Amino acid sequence: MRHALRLFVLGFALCLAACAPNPLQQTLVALAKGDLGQGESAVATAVLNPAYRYLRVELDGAAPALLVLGYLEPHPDGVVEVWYASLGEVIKTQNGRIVGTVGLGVDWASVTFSKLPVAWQGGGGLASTYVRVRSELPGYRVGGVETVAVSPVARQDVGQLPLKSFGPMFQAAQAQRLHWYQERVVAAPPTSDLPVSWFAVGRHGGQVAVVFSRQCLADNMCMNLQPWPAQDEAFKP
Amino acid sequence: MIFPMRQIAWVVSLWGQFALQAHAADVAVLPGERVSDWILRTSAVTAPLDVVHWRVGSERGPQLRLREAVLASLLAPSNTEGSGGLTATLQSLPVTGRMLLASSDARWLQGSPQQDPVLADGQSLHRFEAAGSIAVLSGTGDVCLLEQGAATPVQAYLKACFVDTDDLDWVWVVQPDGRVSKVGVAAWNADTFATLAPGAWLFAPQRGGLPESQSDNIARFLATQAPARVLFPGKPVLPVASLSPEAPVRVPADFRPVQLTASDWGEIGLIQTPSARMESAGKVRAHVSAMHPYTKMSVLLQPMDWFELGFRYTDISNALYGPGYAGDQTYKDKSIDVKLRLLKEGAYTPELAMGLRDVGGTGLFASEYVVANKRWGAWDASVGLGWGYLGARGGVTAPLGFLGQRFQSRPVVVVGSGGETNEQSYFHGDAALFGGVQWSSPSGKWVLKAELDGNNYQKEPFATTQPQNSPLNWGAVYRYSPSVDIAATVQRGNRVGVGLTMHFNVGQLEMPKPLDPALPRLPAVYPVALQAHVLADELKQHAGWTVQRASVMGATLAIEAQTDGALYMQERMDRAVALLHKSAPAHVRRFVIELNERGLPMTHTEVDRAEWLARMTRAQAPSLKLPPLVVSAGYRREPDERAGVDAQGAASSPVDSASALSIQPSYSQILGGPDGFVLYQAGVKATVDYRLQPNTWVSGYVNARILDNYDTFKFDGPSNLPRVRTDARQYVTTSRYTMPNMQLTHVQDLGGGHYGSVYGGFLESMYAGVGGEWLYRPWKSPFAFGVDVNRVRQRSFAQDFGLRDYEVSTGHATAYWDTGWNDLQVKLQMGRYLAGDVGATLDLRRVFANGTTIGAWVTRTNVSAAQFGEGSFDKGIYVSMPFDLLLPKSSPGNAHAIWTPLMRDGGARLGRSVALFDLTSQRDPRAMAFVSNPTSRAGNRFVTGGDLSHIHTEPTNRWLSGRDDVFGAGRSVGDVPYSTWLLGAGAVLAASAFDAQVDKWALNQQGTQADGLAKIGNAVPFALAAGSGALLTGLAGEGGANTAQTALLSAGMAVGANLGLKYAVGRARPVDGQGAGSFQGGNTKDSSFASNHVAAAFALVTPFAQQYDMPSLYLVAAASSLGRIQQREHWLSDTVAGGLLGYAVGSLMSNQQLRREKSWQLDLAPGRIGATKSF
Repeated sequence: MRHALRLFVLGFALCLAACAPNPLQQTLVALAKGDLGQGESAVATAVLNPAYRYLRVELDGAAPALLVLGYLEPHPDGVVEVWYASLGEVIKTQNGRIVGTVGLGVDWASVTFSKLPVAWQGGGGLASTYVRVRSELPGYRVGGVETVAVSPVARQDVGQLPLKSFGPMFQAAQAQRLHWYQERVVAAPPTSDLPVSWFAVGRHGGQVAVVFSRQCLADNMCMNLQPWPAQDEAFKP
Repeated sequence: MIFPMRQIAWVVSLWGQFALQAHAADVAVLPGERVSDWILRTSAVTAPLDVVHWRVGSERGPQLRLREAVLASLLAPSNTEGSGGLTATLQSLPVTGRMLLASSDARWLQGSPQQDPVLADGQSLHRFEAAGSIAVLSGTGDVCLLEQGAATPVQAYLKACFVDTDDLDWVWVVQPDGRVSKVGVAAWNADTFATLAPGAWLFAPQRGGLPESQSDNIARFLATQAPARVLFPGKPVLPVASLSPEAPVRVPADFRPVQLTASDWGEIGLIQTPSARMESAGKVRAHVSAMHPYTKMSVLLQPMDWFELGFRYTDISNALYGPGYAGDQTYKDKSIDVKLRLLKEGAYTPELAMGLRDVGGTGLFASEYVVANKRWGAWDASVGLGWGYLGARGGVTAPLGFLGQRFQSRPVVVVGSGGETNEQSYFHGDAALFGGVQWSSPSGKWVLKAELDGNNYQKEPFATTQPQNSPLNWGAVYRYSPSVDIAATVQRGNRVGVGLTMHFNVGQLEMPKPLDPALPRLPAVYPVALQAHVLADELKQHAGWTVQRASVMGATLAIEAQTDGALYMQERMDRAVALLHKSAPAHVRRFVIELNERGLPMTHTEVDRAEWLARMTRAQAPSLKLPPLVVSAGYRREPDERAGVDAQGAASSPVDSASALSIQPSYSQILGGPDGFVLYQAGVKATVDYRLQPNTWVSGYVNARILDNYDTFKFDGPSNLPRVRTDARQYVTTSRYTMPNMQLTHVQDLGGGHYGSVYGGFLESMYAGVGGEWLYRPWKSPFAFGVDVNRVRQRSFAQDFGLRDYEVSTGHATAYWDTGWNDLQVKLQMGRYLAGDVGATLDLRRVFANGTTIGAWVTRTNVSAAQFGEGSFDKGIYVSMPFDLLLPKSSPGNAHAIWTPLMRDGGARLGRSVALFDLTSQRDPRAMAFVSNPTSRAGNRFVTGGDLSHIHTEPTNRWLSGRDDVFGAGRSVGDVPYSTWLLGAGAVLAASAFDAQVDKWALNQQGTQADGLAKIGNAVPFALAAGSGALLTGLAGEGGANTAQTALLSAGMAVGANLGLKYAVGRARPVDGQGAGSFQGGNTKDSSFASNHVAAAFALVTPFAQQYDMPSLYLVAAASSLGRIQQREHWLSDTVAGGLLGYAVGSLMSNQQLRREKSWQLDLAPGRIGATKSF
């Protein structure tokens, strides 16, 4: 009983401590609220400017962030979308695939295709391959040629997707409503060791497009990308 | 003859430079255009593989100096290679003025305008298409061009260019974006798999060919160059045989980092044996290992790259702590380990280290060792020689026996006394060979180990033995994460052991600050008037400063603020300036920030608003930058200084606005005691800091102990002294509600770097009283000196308002010295301790760039080891970290972890909570250099305008120049005219006529006040030597240090020469009673002629007296003569001879020093060659 009373006093004192603006107390309060964790609520409650387009990016082990579309660069292989983070980091995507980053721990300085990928198909496509020439920093691995195999995921296999790595918001039911593709590097220089990438294709802005993807810049640096707010019917509860 | 040739070379290079520009400058820049605009304008599609060179005309001067410094060094006779071919090649390369760009990605530059230069006159941009070639520049100046491959390692390029790469150890990689790195390419040092981008340079000097600094200079000069394919258009580009995609070059199996892991004892090593390897400075390792009957818990710290230090608790499961007082608790042994690297590994030499285990404990596991390591790729072999526990197997008979009989055997350790350093047994007796090998897997996840143990486990603690079936031990370490290792071992051929290590680098700790409010962006529109109260609130929120006054006067916005003691002043200043800029009306051109710490003026900072804004909005070349901030010493203002100032928007805060009241959790623990391994208490404490005046306040805290296991806390340590600390149990257990500290403090700026404080109250948990402190701390000086005096009385055990009977006066004189070497700081305290004992405490600590401190102290007083009891003397190890590195919100204060083996009464200091040295930390030379993220800043590749043209030089050895002076002075002796010799001899003879009379006077002065004066005189040479030593550190500048060095060398030479004289003359001393005429040549024992004291004193003062025109210093030296004569150690003539000898040596050495300094000095600058001579 006496022990319980002491625990109560300790808890009460800590609650009292939380009221005062001390850095340690503020940290404890933030921990209790989960503000130091995923920070999901910050993205969910962010006030968006309807004039802008956003990309939700969740790097493994970090809180999700919203990137804003800065430029659309015309390119013979498809428009390159240039997304900016709050501290100036840049992610460039083309047809949903990352084709450049600047300011991250590992950057893809450039990506070109010596054999172009087949366009995404909303109704499930055929297996194909493309050849990517990629340069990576800070290791200065320049001009690495990778052959990437693209294969659609059969509807009955969607349940085997690594949903946990897609983030806490992603529901199995949503995955079932999307068309999935897997990309695997099948031939690469010995220094390259990229994990498998996943792409969900749906309708975004009235067109067939990648509505969610999990891509990796290095073997230990993967991220989930999703146009935000999610527009495809699949993401509606 | 050299100068005209050099000038010709310059002309040639400048022509070459213009020729290249004409070739490469494709599209001219538009005035005011940014680099990102130019890139987008000149390329339809972003092509990041293309290299964009930003060339700034004003940077050519510094780069020219860099090249000339390189060429001058190549002409030095010490260089064995490169003086011909390399010189010619480097001379043929143009000086371009190229500056680094953070990135050539235009879109990123647009999003980071502070890294995107605005182009001006004299600047140009050049695009070099990704040239698929690599250039290798050899140490002999040959350039070899090779095809670039995506996964081709550096070694493959070297092999393609050089017939033999065995004499290459290090190469410098210059990537086309201008980044330079040094890469090991031999089997003993290769640790990274480096690949090169097209257009890169490799500089590959042969082993021992060039000093490292020169190779680095050359590499940075190459970074200013265009790709070699542009510079050498006619040169063929050779293929690297193994570059074809069908047969890609594989990563060489051997070329990967060697994994450093802990032994069972926590130090870097194999299983039971240490290796010579060291972690990087700042590494902290907590290690637990279990192998019957021992469980070891070790904490190892790496304050220096070459020094490892740690402590350990060892649980011995087959022995009891003490049946009489500790129940069934098993024995806990405490010990301290040190390891020192003696030699770094080279191509042919091993890494060598020596170390001591259990140096400060009971000596149950006391061991000494020397060990060497040599690496071959992923294999790392060690072999060593161990004494004591580590060498118990024996087999090597007393390796140091040749040093004397006492090294033939090892003294027996007496268990229980502890605390001795056991120096009487170091490296004594028989030893055993130990060693082994480890292999690191390609993934770096696994390390496999095998070793030959040095112990045979037949002489274990408490006279026990352990069976050993095999002297070979085997182990595997799995690197679970970058900070966690798990080990499994098979030892003695019959036992399985496990280990767990957690390790991280406290010098590289960083913490994001998600709870900090975001700084406002640069405003598009400036306010019409200053909203001073808004600014004050924002400064409190973002910088922790309490604004005392803010106002706009003309074009100046001035604030006065009180800081909160936070360490990272530069970061706080950056935030504050951003807020000032946001708040200041458009007409304000200057910010003045006056900061004080608890009313003590600290800094006065002036900020040029336009320059600061330029720094925030565009990148600039180093030659075009002006410092936006100028920080100088703060000073005390008189109240009427501000009277009558017409200030706009002025605001001032009430005095108590900096007061604070907070409630926090509290926790403390006692480890390793006989009542339980961990005795803990947890609770809450309320702290108060109430400001009566800015420099007068009441502070303290009360604590409520809520959870603890003190019901088992029964043991009071024995003591032979007043129980000034050993009543700790009663202090922590008597009351749950305590007031450990509550005091009134007043501090005062006394002007000129002098500070004072007085305080009184309940100063710490065990003592109450009053005290005062004076501190002298010059602005930005590495030295400070202070004195504190206290009269205190012991408090009641309840830590309430009661007092006990014991009272004492205690205080210390404290010298602080920031050595500037390896971030090492020294604190030496001398004075009276709580038990009335008198002595000194030496505290050494390394303070890393992020403010983390690793340190240790030792105290020796006039308390004998027997009186002190277990432990023999006070000592401890500590780690201190700013809370900023631990919390996600910016915060002042530090977290401390202190380890002391035992709390005893000898050498106990008063725990003063307010120290002037801490309050005046902003006067530290490094105050603005501490940052919360030094590692990220150093590794940040996204910085435009990095300085490529600084000139590295090898560290100079002051004593080598001193050695030349010694030889020069020796040669100069022959130049002394005969008349001078005769004059000196005459003076000695004349003095000898008065020897007997003067000694008679001295005899009459025995037992009088002259004794005291004589003692002072005797101390003169030692004081002079100490003073010279202090000046040698640079206290009085480079000139003073040079003179001090000459003085110390002179003293050494004078004493050395005098020893020869003493031997030759062999004169009896006055106290011998044999008279002034007793000579026995060839006898050094107690010879009187001449006086060493006087010779040394005159040798020490002469260089200063001559170089600074201070003849009065000779009187100081003469005081030593008085002492020697009064104490009847010397005759008058002895002191005259000693004085003349010292004067002569000091004069000769001083002349040599001045001759060296006044020789011609070559001066190279852009557009001119000069030579200067000092007179």
